Amino acid sequence: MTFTAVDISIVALYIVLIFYSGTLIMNKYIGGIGDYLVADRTMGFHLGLLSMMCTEIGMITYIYYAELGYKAGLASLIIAFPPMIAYFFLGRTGFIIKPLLEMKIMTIPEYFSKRFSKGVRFYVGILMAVGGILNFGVFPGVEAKFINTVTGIPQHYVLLTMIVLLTLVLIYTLVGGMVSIILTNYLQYALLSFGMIFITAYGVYVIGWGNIVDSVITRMGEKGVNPFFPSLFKGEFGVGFIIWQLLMWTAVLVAWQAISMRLFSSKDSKTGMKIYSWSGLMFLSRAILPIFWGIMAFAYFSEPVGSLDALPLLIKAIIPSGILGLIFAGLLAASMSTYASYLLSWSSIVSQDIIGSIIKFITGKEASAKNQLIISRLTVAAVMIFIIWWSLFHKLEGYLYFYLQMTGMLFLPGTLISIGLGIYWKKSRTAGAYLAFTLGALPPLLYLFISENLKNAWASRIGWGGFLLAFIGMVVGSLVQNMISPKNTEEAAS
Amino acid sequence: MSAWIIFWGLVVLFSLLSFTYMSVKILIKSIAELKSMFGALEEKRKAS
Repeated sequence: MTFTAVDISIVALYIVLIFYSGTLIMNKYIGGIGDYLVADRTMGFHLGLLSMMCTEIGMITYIYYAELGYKAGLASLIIAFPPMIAYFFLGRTGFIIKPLLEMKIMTIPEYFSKRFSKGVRFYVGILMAVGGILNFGVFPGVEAKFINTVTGIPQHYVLLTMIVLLTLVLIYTLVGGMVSIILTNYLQYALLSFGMIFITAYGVYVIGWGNIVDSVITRMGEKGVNPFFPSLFKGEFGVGFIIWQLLMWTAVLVAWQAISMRLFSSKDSKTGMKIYSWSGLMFLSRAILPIFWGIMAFAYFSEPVGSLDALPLLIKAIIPSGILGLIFAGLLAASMSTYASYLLSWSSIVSQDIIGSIIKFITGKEASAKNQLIISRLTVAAVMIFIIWWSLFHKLEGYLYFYLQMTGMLFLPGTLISIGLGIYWKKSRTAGAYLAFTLGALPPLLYLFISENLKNAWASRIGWGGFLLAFIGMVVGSLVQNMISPKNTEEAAS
Repeated sequence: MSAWIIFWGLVVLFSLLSFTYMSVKILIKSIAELKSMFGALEEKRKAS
């Protein structure tokens, strides 16, 4: 189907609504950095869950999951289970997240200055900013190509699409902060949930479950159905992969700034834990449905298409005009909330934990609330410029899903191990934290530089290896520091 | 292989139904929470 005037009108109406609510209404509520970053901790359970889903469902989510489904078939649906298990586990037990919620911190690096030292906070802030921004850096390019395919805009206008998309997001993010995001999330969630349900149900109606299964079996064989083929240990999604994903998702839910900010925005620790428990179920669908779209695209197109183009081509091919505008607004909604939240999340790390630390080091005191807000907004703008540049010049190799996870892994193994042992192991020390972050970052750093074949073959081992090295680093570093300097004077403040 | 196909079919169906149910529930119940959140922020604004 082609993108008609009706579709364009629906999208335009959506943009006007979002822009109006985000910029004009909310500005009066934003007083200080607390309002701006965590909505002054006023978010209830349903709003928290809605906001969490909006943040973590972007067009990029659909694209990387659909790529997996298109390339690996039904077997790749196994990827949906580790996040669900991690959410349930943390939400039900309160493991790590409950102590963090009770500390009332705004960013994860704050924990490190309380438990270890300001130097660790600064180091973590840098790793988080680099990993997070490299991760975020591929979003605009991939999504702009997706938008252009669905709408029929020629691909050589990809830069223009990126700039328009990011400018819209930037305007209301800069003005409203977290309060603005929470309000606009409501409208966005209504659209994106409609889109997800419609594409799945209508796709099965058009293509047929029988045809989908037949295509996978005929063209992929058992590998396309059984995630553990040829064996539990040798399968692409075997034991090593599952262990890596369980560790990875536990770390993401503890330390991924866009997610943990949602946690810190909740009004109490009970609400935060409840949001996590229920997010498990939502995250199962968040992965299953887009992966299934990729599988539908595989069945629909008998000739191979680019794995990242499969989903937009499917949407364009099967969704009727009129509904296409609504679906596109839903896709745009998903992206705008993710962009807004990620811009805010990563820039808060840069402004609070890196620039804030430098200012305090030089002047000997914290920046004023007004200056913090100005720094935060300037950082958002700088991050935006960087990701446009990165999107234009970085060439993606291997699964997009793995690239995103490996960039996050520059800090996630060290963060999970340092927070976990920092809370539950009294002998953990500053040297252990430094070593955990440094060793944990080495395998994913290696991943970013090796060839595409090695990337695919070694991803799981590099994944769980990062966590193992971080653990070794924390234990060895702490034990050595305890031997050399048994008195914990440096960390007495914690 | 048949067992896997049935399993994945059930997983997709369950995901679609649970997502639909949860989305409707969240959208309805969030309205009251939005009102309460802005009420609290409005009070704080007036107080300052």
